[in-house]
Amino acid sequence: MRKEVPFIISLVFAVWRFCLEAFDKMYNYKLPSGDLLRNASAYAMTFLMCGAALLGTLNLLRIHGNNIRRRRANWIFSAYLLALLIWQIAIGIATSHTGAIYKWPYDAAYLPLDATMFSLLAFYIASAAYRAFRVRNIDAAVMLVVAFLVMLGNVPIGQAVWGRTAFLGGFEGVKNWILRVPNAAGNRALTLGIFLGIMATQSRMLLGIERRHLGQD
Amino acid sequence: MSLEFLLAAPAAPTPPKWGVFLPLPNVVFAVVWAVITMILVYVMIRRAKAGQWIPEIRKIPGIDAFSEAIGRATEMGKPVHMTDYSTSLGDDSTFAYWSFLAYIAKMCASYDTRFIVTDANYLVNVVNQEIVKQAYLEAGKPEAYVQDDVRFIAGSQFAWAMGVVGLLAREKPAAQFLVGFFYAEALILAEAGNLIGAIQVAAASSPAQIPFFVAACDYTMIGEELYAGAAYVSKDPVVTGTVVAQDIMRFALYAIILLGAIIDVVSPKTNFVKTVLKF
Repeated sequence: MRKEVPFIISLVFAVWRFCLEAFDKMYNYKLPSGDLLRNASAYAMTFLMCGAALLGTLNLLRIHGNNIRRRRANWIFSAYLLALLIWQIAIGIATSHTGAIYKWPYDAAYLPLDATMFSLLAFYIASAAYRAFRVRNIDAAVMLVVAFLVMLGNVPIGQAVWGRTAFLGGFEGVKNWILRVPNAAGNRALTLGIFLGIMATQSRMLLGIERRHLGQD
Repeated sequence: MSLEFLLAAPAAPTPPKWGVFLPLPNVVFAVVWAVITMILVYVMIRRAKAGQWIPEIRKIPGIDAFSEAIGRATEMGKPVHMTDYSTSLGDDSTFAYWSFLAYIAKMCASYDTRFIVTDANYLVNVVNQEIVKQAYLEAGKPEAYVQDDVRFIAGSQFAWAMGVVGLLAREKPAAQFLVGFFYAEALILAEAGNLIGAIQVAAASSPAQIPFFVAACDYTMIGEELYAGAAYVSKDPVVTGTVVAQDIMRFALYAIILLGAIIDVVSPKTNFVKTVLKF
């Protein structure tokens, strides 16, 4: 029953939702229970996400609580994390999630940290490129040359050296050709394969064959 | 009756194609393709489960890298780390991730190597714990399973990435596996792994991040190799049958594309392939 009941519930709702959307779009006919299903789905999703958030919070409390209790290395950071977690929960319950005091840690700390991590990518790209673009074999040599051409096509010095009005459109013309022809071909081949993988996996789920998310026997 | 009144009247609605399908391009072909895919997937899975002949999946070169990386971690006495960000319970890459997770967990259990799994989704984390526990059970070492090593970090992208980078800096795993669908955090994780000298294997289905993995990781399995690799390591008839069905559909698609391209060059006005695809 542990696997059959969730499967039956998901099958019923999937077919119901499919009929709802299909009849609406194809025949301009709204199923009488359409709004009920949409509202019920929205409530169910919200309820599920709240339950999932509770699971995540309990997981964090257990792991970091153990760190603090056993005084493992850097346990003070676990205490800091739990203090912030409990503080935010308490403030959210006491005031509201739209209050200034609730939003302040998010606006003043989380958003700048998020932006900082994003900005680190620029430096990581430089270090990864330095390691990757070494002429070890023919593949690496081709990648180096192509990367060099594309880079020059993007910067003003490339246009100054070999402008877009010159033969082949200059570095920019070469860059555009590289991106539009071989790069696009490779990307589309990749996307095609991934798309087929997605279709096949979704087919498995629709047919009820895929049940690993329901747990092991 | 004046002409202005006729112009103001709404146009008659476009009738559905074949009485059923939306009057949009590609709809009928897409539905037919989807139905054929589902039938083929079902047939191949049934054949695989019954032990009947289905085409074999060739060995993906990156698969050997898994045992090499875990072996290295075992020799150095350091843990193995595996992670994914964009897994959620309904995602296709999640199911492939679980195949790899079970395979790596079982290998780590048999080698007595510590295995750390981090995740950014609460629900997937629960399933991960079950899978890893089951793998340790199958390896005959249930007591070696540590629940705290399969942990949820954070739900948001860079908070999770920061948590993983911090874990890498503290635990210093000798091997890292990045499996699934990634966004901008891909390069951060890969470079953090490089900084600690870990051997890294990536199996990514995110086209935009594959170049970063190729540049930063020791071995990379790209695009569909994620799904084929999952079938190869798990030997699960469901996954194997699915990959075989995918391959057959891919060959069919290549044949259609090739035929359409040839006809378009030879006789573009009578390109029936284009007509069928757009119907």
